[in-house]
Amino acid sequence: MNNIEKNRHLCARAGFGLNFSEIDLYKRTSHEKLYSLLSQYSYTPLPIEGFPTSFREYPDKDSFNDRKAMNQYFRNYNLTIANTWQKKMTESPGQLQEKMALFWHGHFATRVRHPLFNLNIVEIFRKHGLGNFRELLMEVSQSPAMLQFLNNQQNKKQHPNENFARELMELFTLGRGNYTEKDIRESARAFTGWSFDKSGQFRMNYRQHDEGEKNFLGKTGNFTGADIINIILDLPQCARFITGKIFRFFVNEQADEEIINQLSAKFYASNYNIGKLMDEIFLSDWFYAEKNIGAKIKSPVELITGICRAMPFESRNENMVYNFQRLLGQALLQPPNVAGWPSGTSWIDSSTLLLRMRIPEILAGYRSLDIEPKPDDDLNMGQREKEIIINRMKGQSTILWEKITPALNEDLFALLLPRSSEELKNLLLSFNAGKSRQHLLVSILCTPDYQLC
Amino acid sequence: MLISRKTFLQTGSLATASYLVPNFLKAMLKPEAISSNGKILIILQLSGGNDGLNTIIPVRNDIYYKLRTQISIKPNNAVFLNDEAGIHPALAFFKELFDNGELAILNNVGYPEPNKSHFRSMDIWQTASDSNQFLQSGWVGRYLDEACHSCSNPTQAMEIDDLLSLAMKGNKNKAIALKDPRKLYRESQESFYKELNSMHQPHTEVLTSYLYSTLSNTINNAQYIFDQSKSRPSADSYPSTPIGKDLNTIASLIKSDINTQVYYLSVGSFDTHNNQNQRQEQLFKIINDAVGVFVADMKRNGKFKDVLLITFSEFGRRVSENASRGTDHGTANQMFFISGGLNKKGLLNGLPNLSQLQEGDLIYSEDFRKVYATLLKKWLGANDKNILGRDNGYYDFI
Repeated sequence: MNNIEKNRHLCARAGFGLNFSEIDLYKRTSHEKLYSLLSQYSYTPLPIEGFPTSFREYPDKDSFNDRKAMNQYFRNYNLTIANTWQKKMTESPGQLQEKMALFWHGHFATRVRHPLFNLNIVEIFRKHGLGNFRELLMEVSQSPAMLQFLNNQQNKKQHPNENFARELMELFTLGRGNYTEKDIRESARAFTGWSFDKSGQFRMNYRQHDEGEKNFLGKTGNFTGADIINIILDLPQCARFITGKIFRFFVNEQADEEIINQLSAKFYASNYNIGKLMDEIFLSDWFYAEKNIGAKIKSPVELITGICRAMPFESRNENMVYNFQRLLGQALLQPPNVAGWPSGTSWIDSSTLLLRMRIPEILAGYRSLDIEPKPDDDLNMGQREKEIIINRMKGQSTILWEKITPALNEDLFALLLPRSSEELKNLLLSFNAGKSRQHLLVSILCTPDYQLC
Repeated sequence: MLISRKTFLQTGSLATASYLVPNFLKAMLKPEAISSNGKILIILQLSGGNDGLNTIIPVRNDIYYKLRTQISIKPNNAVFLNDEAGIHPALAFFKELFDNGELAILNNVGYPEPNKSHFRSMDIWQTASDSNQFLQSGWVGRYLDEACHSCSNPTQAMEIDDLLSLAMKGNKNKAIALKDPRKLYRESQESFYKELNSMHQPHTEVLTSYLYSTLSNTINNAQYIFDQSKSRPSADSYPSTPIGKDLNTIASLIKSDINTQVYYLSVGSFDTHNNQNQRQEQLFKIINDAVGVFVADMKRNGKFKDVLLITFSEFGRRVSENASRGTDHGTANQMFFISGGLNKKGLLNGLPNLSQLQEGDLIYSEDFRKVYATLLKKWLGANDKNILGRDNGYYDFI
């Protein structure tokens, strides 16, 4: 495997694909050095424009004329968060930080309406995503988005609500089979009283907290929620569960038990240092093994962001990228349920495959789009949504070809596809015979093979 | 080595594994593959949460009128089905079906621990899961897994839409979605796709193979469906509403030789938080008109005995109206069954009990999965227990 192939694989997994306006960097940089650039991270909040980012400035409920106006405000604000984050994913040199945040967004999946709750939890993912899992888990557990989504506001001494306790163990830390129904009931009691105040701040409501003795995973005591989280983190199974999920997301959906065991032992020994775990993965030799190349189907966000990086464009419609991702089944801030997005072949059916294979041509203005999204009544509150129409004649997007001129003269197959047969190359070359390199680039982006990374 | 289907299915990833198996082996592994019995099921999804209490109206119930002073439908406006139940006046054709014994109504259908998010509750209905269970395949999709083991045209189930619903995604097979056979045909038959499809080298990688077979299936099915849809164009004049066009497409396919047994379509939005009566009436009117033409078409072509059209919604609405002449999200709801081949007709059970509510919501009495089991077993001849993963019992209306 040559340098550019290694760098392509690395960027596809530790980020959102090669940035075609920086092709020189990939040619002259080793994958180790490139990884140190991709994994650099410094936390700065998303640059949200046009909306207040603190509760102090946030409009009062009464300041809206009616429910419809408030709903519209929620919608626009949430779209702004999604679009701003999306732009960060496309442009940030610290790619791994954003990729990691996307992973945690699917792991700690919440779906709530309040824009500030959404912004808050996304910032937690961006801030702690490469930090310490212990801190990440605690912050998420006490975030208004999670407390609201899993009904912990209703978890009270007299009427415990087990929703959060169940998902904490089943989906967030241990996985099924590593706890009992009794552990769920007991730990739910420990989380009673965990709530948030009017400004979204975590608040311990002592009046609703059950201070009695609990038996949890073989231990006995007057545990609080924080105690429960610490007891869970003391179990090596927690490190193993998280490592397994990270491996399947970043390396290969077919788990390699031996490697996962080794990684998870180190992850546990490091007291849950996520950044170190990612270093282990991306600096290993096995990460570049043949069986891990092209072993994943890109999620809609990975696919579209990758296209944005390979073929940068300006659009008059600021929601265009978001709309594509939504049509393909993955809108930011809208995971389907607490278990997060599905993966692998579940992304692909006849409609989504055809749409995936048409999007690059739509962006390049070669063809139009006319498609009706599935209704989302949680967002639309009964308003019928219009079809998404992109008319190629109206030039809704402009490709910034001048930014990627040097890249166009490189081996485009090697830059874009995990592997490509001579037959595929010949087919695409003859299909684009007499046309520009731009056309060839678009054609490659439109292949089934480009769906893999 | 001979492996049983069960062992085989338990090994590795379902979705990808089946592509590694040669066709002749797939044929061996299908002890319970279904052969079509000629029955057609049409599932009409009322998206957004239809208000069931203003659909089948408890015209003698004081609680109903007391809790809905603004939006209740008065006895003199409702169309009476019997002494205590009326139907919404915009559903006049449904009353005709009712009188002809071609409509059955099951009241108060739902599931335990109801969820009030549209999205989540719809997923529960579409996957047939428990309230706290997250499935990645839908109930019709899993039917398709059974019905299409090695079939050449996996078109036993079809959605009339641009995008495919979770209900239609199986573990191995996914149904095809199309708004219009001609549009899909045009889009799928481009030379670029055909050239990609005709590459000679086999795709040895599992995922590459999966992607190319999906492409190939799409091209072939689009052609097959388009050809079938042209063979018996509709003579009836369907309304030019979306549901009118959709039912027209479905009718032309039913009259052709296509192997499709399940059609899925949706109408909405029924999310009537304000000014409910106006919106609901508009939606019912377009449904009423389209279903009227469709039923006449089926009858004239001798198909109505073999066609069953059902409706469902992700939830009903609160018993009390809200302050905006609308209703908020509720729980249980009724389902309609329309066919010329019903065993039992009319109201299959009593109206919901309005004097016993849970936090202002109806307490469901019928589990929707028992309805699915009935449709799968008694209408489609499929193994409902495999598809739904549990024994739900059956109704006897079909």
